[in-house]
Amino acid sequence: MAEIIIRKDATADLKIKIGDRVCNGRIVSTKTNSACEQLTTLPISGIIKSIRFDGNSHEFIIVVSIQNNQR
Amino acid sequence: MKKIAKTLTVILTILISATLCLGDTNTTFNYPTAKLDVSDISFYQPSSDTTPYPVVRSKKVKNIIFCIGDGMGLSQVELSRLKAAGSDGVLYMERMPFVGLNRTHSANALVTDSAAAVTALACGIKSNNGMLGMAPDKTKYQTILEAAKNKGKRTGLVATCDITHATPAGFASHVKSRNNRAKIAEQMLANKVNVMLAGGWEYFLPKSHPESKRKDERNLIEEAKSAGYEYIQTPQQLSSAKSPYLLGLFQTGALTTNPPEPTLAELTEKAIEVLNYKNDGFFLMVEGSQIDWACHANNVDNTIKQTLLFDQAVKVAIDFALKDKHTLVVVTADHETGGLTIPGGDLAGKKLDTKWSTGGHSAMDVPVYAFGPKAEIFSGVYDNTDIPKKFAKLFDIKNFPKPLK
Repeated sequence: MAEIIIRKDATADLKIKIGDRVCNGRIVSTKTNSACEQLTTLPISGIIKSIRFDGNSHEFIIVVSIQNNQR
Repeated sequence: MKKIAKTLTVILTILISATLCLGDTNTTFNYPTAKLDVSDISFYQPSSDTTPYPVVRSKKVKNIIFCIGDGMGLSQVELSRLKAAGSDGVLYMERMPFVGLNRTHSANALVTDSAAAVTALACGIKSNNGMLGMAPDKTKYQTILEAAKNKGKRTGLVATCDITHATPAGFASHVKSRNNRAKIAEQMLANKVNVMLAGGWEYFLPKSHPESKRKDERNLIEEAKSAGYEYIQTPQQLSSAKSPYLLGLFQTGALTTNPPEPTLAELTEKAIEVLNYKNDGFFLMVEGSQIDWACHANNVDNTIKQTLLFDQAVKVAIDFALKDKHTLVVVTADHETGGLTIPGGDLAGKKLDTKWSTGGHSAMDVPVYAFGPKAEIFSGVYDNTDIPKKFAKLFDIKNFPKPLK
């Protein structure tokens, strides 16, 4: 199954959790108005496979398994 | 039947307790410490004396040691105290005689990030999340470290993260985005901070080096040496270092906070030794960087470990200040992380229930502890921007906050 990795600044809480079936456009987290703000909505539909916190970049690293009909 | 029901109840209780103790296991964290046992806190010896440190009557503040526990709210302090010293014990920071609270919101968000928070704590101004050392309109402001340096004081930055991470960076660089780490490294070096001890040589090495994260061929380590810095990478080099300009980078990225690396307390001790060489005084910032990271991962054990490692460093600062009599030590946080609460547990701190309300930061006020001359001015509830303004007054620095020319 194809996967995509999304990196999201960790200041704000995530609105998704592992195992969630998510649709394109689903909100990932609340906006933090950061000067280095990344995307706050999912660019693709799928299932949230894993979420890790990376201290060095201060980001959540979210792995989404892409649904077959999106490939 | 009753026996089965009783057994099931016990199993269920154990499972629920385990879940509460471990926190949210859906989120993990990705740095070397994550692979190690973080529940061992035998390195920490709690204070046998639980009385407050004495009030220092001296009026002259020659040195300031500013200790920042990244993400350290009151719950993180209490959790660590309960675990390490029990409900009647104290952490060293809690023995400091004056206590306050600081408000943490940024210019454009109720929940701050570390960049806007450190801009407030270093420059005395509110900025937007993500920005370092400048106002929302991109006007650069002098940091308290830079102002202290202009007053003839030696300066130092000590942290357990990469030296170019937001909090240490915020005292010696001015960039629109905290992610511009290569630029931050250049600015920190150009600022001639006397002592920089942390991790993060990845932003100091040229692009051609396999561990580099730079996009150019500048070798900042060689540049630092040419500028008079002694560059060190090992605990042995740390103990023998003598130069008034010391760049110590002990990992590619963040420190592991495990042996054989020097501890935050050892780094703090060395920084004080170097900075206290002349009689003009110094400004030193010490950050317990990874309290925040443990809280983002909702990891109770590592939150306790990182807070205790930070408290050991605070003890080093206090021990020096007790002898010196002209050193002010202020401990605070940039923000709280995790929305941590302790809904229950036992008095000995052996079993503690914990709840996290977020994997991000929260808007909670954070504690301020102060010891030394003029420490009483840190009592009360105030804005985070007031802290460097108070420092400036104590160092007789006029016109602060001040835009950079």
